[in-house]
Amino acid sequence: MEIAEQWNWVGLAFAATYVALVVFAASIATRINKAKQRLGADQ
Amino acid sequence: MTTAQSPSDTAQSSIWPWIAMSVAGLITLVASFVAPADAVQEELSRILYVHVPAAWLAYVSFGVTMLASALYLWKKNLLWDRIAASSAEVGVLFTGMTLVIGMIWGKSTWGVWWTWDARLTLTAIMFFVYLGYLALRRTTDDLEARARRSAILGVLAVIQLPLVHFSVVWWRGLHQTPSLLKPASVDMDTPMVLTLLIAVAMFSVMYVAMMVKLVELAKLEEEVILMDQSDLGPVAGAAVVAPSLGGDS
Repeated sequence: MEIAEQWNWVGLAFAATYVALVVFAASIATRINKAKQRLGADQ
Repeated sequence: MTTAQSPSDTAQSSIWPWIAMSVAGLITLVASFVAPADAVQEELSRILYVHVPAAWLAYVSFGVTMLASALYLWKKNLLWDRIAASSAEVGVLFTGMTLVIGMIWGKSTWGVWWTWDARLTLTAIMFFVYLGYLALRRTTDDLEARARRSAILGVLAVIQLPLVHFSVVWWRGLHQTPSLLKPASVDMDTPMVLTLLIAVAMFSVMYVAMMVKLVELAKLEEEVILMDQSDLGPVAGAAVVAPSLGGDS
């Protein structure tokens, strides 16, 4: 396999990793904000 | 009964876990690309630095879920339930990442996205079992029942960890045997081992950061559930009271 093609696979693996981490972190932040809004709105 | 916090109490969320996660992600990225290429797999070997840490942290996550579940069953403190559930959620993320990254690595080296190798199959089963654990937690709003049921599953499900880890030793398959977590000597050059250890340390930082946030979220979600339950009120008006069923009170 050509070196350039190897880098494509490496890039895909790292992109999948970082996209998953960022999306998961964003989902946590969103859920925290939603819960706080629910609690804040019902005080 | 009231457990809901005031808005000022719940606004204490810190941003340091997000900063720690970002720095850890950056260090992993730099270390992975600075490390030397492998003699056989060449540049493809760099996938190791995200695949293996994700797999190891999945083990750690589910191990913590088991310990916290056992502590919940013993102490009946909902803090342990929050820790168990949060760790299982991170574990599912890391197991999913392990599978996806492994499929990318498999396609580039074996020529196939998937094969029914023992390691791959058992990892996929583990992923779905812990997805089931998370689904089980959504079946009831009774916090004690939810914690008890998921704690039992959290303790039982950990039996998969040794099965997944030693599957490459017990059954012949495409997946390679362990390079580091084994009794015999390490098969990797020092720069690659160091890079892998750095990546594992950085993934551990990400694990702790996500745990801090998820435990905070679990507490907030419990308060929302309790608030919803307290808001329901009597079905037929305050004048209607439930009959006493004891008979001798």
